[in-house]
This record gives sequence, structure tokens and C-alpha cells, in this order.
Amino acid sequence: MKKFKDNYQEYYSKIKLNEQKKDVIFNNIVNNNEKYRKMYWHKKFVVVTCSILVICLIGTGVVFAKDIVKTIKNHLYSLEPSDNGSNNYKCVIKAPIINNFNDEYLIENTKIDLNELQKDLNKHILHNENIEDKSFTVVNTTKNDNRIIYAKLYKNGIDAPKIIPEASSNTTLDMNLSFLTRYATQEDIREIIEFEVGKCSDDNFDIIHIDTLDIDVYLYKTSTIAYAYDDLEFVVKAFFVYDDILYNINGSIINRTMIIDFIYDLT
Amino acid sequence: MQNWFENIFSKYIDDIYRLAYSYTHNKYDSEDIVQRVFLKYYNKQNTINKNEFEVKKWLVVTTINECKDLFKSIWKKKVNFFNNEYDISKEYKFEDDFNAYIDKLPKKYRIIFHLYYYYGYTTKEISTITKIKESTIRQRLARGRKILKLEREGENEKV
Repeated sequence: MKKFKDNYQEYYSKIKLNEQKKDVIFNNIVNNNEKYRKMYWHKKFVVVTCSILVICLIGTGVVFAKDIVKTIKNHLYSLEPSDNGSNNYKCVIKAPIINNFNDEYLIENTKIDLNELQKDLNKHILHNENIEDKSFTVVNTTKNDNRIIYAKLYKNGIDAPKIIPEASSNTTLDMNLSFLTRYATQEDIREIIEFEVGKCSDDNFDIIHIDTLDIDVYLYKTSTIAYAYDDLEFVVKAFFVYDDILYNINGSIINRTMIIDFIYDLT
Repeated sequence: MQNWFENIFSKYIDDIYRLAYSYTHNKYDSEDIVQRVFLKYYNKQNTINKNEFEVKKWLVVTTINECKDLFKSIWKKKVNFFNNEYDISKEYKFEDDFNAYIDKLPKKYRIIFHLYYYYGYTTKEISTITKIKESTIRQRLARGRKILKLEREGENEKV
């Protein structure tokens, strides 16, 4: 009986490359060596170049990711109200450029000119780094008619001392936005600001209320939400800053729950 | 220089092919490995000692490394075209079923078996080539033999 070693050697000695294959390999090595070498360096060059390109692309992506996300968000949240009312609010995100309020749309429904008011609110909420020190000014809104904005402060339903004197058409009022921020989460001492808009000689005022939305601003890392609405809550504007972006929500048929849901979705 | 290479090529190509085949059990992979090994040798021959023993050792070590590299590649792990399609016994017409029997040997024992039984290296020499402890080599040889013995007994029982 043959030993394992003999069997093994016999088995492997039968395995060999045929002469034709050997010639091909020899020819590949000796005659095409330069070609192979070039191919090797060419391959290396391609791999290195591609790697550098990929790294550059990833690097650029990381650097601009924040901007790209913001751009996409801007695009996604720029919803215009549709004619059939399916989108019942207009949401525009623009920072730091203040959105041009869709005046026509609002006037059609309410006859209230909110332009100046919006500008002031925007200005102060945008620059909310030292919001305690800021104040906003309310002036008469249009030059073409006699409309004047009156502002009254209410604290727990009682008249606050600062009331704009009637008929003072160009009165400015320093109204600190800390009214909106300081008491945002303290229900019992929250202050509501009301603006009366209308002709000074007329009792038929439109009233705009400015309130804050009851939301945990620390938990959701947002600024206080300024929430402006008319008497019937038919026209609503809401402003807040989240992640350095001003969110300006405005439109009709929109309620507090919808705005809060919107903020929950953001976070 | 080319004559020296030609001499080495013709002298060792079959041995290198067999060593590669003993590990891969695949004709096409073995041919690729042979070409890669000799191409490396051709490019580096000036830096390698002209002593034939050293050359042979270099070729063996390089072949083993190439075999291991082949099985490390993701391509090889995911794709295998020929293993089940090509039976080398048809080409060489073996008289007995030794090839089927030796195929049962797990991969990690194959190189050591080949160096020991085919090249006739001692366990100490194998230890130098493969950089594996001598005691481990002895243990693997013993275990490999046991596996093959059990396979043989199993086949006999079937018969």
C-alpha cells in the first residue's frame, strides 16, 4: 500500500500548466512588461485621482451641508395659499430678508393694513440677540388716509399705563419686546398687546391682538412666538425664530394648534 | 538577465502552479497567481539574492501571500464563477479518487500539507516560510491527517 506522501506527490506531479499557457504567461511578463507597468501606474493614477475627487466632494458637501439643508427647507416651506383653500396658510421662511407681506390678500379679507406693524415685528424678532433691550415703534401706517394705529397694553386684562394718546398721528411708542418674551411661559402674568387700527375720528376700529403662544421655548429651542390676530382670529400672523431662521407664518383660517403643530414638526 | 529569468521560470513554474492550486483548488485562479508571482519576480529580480534556494523560498512565500490576498478580496468572497464548473480531474484523468479526498482538507491546512508532503520541507523550514510557530505546524499536520483519515473511513463505510 502506497504511503500518503507518495500519493500526494504523485497526485500533484500530474498537475501542471500546459506549454501553450506557459508561453502566454512568459510572453505577458517579458514582452508586455512595460505595458503592464504602464497599466499599473495608469490604474494607480486613476484610483488616486478618483479618491482625491471623492474626498473633495465629501468635504464640500460637509462644508455646505448646512446651507444646502437651509435652501431645501426654504423651498419646501414656501407654500403659497391655493385658490381652493387647501393650503390655508402661507408660510414663508426668509432670513434675514423680511418677507413682503401679501398685503392684498389680507386687505381683501380684513381691510387691515398690517404692513408697518409687520416690519417692526420682523425687525425686532430678527435681531433678538438682546431682545430685552429692543423696542419697536408703531407709527401711522399709511400716508394716504387718516388711519392711525393706537396701541394699548393690557396686563391680565387691566389697562397698562402706556396708552398712546388719541389723535397723535405721529406718536411713537417704545414698547419693549420683553413683554412678549419675559412672560411667554408664565400664564398668570402674561401680557397681551392690542393695537387699534382705524381712523382717529372713527369708533369703528379694527383691533389687532398680539399675544404669545404657550409653548416651551426652551425645550423647542425657539424664540417666543409672537402671535398677532384680529378680533375674530380671522387674520393671523405668527413670528418666531428657530435655528437662526425667521419663520413668518401668516394667513387666514389658521389657529394656534396649527402653528404649534408646525413648530413640533420643525423640531 | 532574461536568461536567468527564463531559467527560473521554466524550472519553478509548475511547482508554483501546484502550490497555488493546492490552496485555491481552482485552475484559473492558480494561473493568475502564477503570472502575478513571476511578474513580481521579473520586476524585482535585481534586488533578490541570486542563490537558487533563496529564489525558490521567495517564490513560495510570494505565492502563499498572493493566495491569501486572493481570498481576502471582496470580489472573491462575493463572486465565484468557476469553482463548481471546472473539475481538474477530467483534465488530468486521475486513476483513483485521491483528488476528491484531498479536496476535503480545509484551507488553513493546505499550504502546510503541500510544503511538507510535496516540497519535503521540515516543520522548522515551514515555520520560517509561513511565520507560523513550529508547534502549530505540527498540530495542523496532525489535525489535517485526522480529518483526511475520518473522510477516508466515512467513504469506506458508504461503500
